[in-house]
Amino acid sequence: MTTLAMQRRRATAGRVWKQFRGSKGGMIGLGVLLLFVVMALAAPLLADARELSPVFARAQGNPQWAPPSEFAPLGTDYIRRSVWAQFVWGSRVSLFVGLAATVLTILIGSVVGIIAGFVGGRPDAALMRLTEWFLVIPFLPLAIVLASVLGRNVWNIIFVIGVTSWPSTARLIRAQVLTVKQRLFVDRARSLGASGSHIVNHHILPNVMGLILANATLAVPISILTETTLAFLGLGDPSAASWGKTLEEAFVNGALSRNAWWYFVPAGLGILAVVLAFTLIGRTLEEIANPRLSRSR
Amino acid sequence: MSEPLLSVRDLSITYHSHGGAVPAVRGVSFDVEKGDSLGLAGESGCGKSTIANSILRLLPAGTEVAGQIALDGKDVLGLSPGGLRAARWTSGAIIFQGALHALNPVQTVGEQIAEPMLVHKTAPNEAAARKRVIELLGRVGISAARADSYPHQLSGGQRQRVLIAMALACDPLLLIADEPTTALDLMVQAQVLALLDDLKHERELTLMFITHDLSVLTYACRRLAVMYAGRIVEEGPAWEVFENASHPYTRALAAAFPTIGDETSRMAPAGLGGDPPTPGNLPEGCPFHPRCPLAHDACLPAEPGLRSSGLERSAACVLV
Repeated sequence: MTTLAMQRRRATAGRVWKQFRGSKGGMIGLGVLLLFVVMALAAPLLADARELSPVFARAQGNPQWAPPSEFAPLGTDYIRRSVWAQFVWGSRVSLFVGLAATVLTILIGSVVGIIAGFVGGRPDAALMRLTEWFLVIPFLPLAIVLASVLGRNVWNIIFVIGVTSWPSTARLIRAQVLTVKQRLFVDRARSLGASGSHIVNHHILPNVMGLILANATLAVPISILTETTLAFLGLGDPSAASWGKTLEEAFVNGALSRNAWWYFVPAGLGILAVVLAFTLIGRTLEEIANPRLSRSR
Repeated sequence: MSEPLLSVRDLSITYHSHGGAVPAVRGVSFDVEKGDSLGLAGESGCGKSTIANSILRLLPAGTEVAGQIALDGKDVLGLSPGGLRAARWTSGAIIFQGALHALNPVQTVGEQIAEPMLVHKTAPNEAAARKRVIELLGRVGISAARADSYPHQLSGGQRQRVLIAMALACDPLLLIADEPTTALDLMVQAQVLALLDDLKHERELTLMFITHDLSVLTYACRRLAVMYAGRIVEEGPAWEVFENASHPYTRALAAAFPTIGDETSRMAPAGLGGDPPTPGNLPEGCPFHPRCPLAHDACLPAEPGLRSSGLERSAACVLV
């Protein structure tokens, strides 16, 4: 890559940032997300990982089912572990699985959608039948079967979420590519001698990027929620504390009937906050990628 | 005489739609000499844009094209995909109709003007391309600062100028302007026409101009060809054809424009009744006879071909 192209990239990034800064919702979302990212990265400083072990908790002499007033900052669970430690370390797994699974989902969905939409004809028909095949398989049973067949670890969970949630993205992007393909500026690009790959890179991709981003923002929360669901059903990585696993354990061990709100409320709010943050950020990015959506310019 | 830059022979173009075959162009031949300008006129659906698109082979897949198109010595219809891509924009460039839709909404106009240079690698690097973009923008009368604007931030006339700048980016030999002034107001139309006229002289461009507006063509072009139902019905020097038409259809087209100073023509411009025939279902004989004020029995048996009607002029009418 030439230095000039790099310079232009940097200028583009600067412009995007300048526009992003002007959006209140986007900045709130970014702030919330940064808070959680910092928490996830600084987990070793915020809470001792040993607190996640019931053996360690018992040796420490932690009380059982202690509310936050008795055991700061967030109380303890049925086997005396610190809820704060679970919350802090759980954010790592939830964020990582959510992001990695989204990247996989969007990657597969975009590649399939763009090829099907742009090439058309037989490749389109073949890819769309494959997509429909994935789409009609009930998602949760497939995810459960895959997760239990592949084994319960973080990478397999990411894989399971990725391969089961790309079809809707692919269909959405294909539809958008089909409309962009009909636009006059694509004919114009063809008339000035552009090749297929040039048209995809310079005209199709930039025009579906907003949709890809919007879809990614929807996919991150769904991925996080799917991870939560799988963990809640007992298919999560048993060695990794995630928010979903916290919710599962709280539910199974009767935190609700005990009125032990401190056990499940932090994880629930954490999921809500992260999902909301991604949605706010995505909305703002979409507005920047598609200048016609924005009100200020 | 040297070989013409663009030579079209017996061009027939048939679209295949769900409703069956639609012959949009039926045996059209014409030449455009280097540095000359030809205007193609006619009502909507007479095949003029189809001809424009066929010259760079931009018609949808599955369209049947017969005949010969020679552009700058190259057999356009026989070019390989790679050869075709190389010829596009360097041998001939198009200014599209509908300036807003021909621009990508998420790219700056500067990037889009630079696009043909990057595709054809006529600019050694981005800095050189950028320099040329500024130069082209200046030439079409847009300030350099506008290079970083998005299409929706420009006015209709500015967008049309951007498209003209883009068409000039690779110094094409032939410039095809497909209704470049439609949907612009009269003042802007005049400015765009003046710009095209200047460029034509300055760069010795060969111009092919397509519109339904005869008065525009008489201003912009030396020669004029009038199309009706997929055929050329009259051809000749623009002013002569406009002022003294041989074909009744041309006469009706020319009469549709009010004459300045003549109150009666302004209040009631002479129109032409009826609709153009649908290309899939042409009337027998001369396709114009159902609407022709001079139609008689001789029009029915066969479709008249072009024949000479004066110096450098021809028309397809039994009365000529």
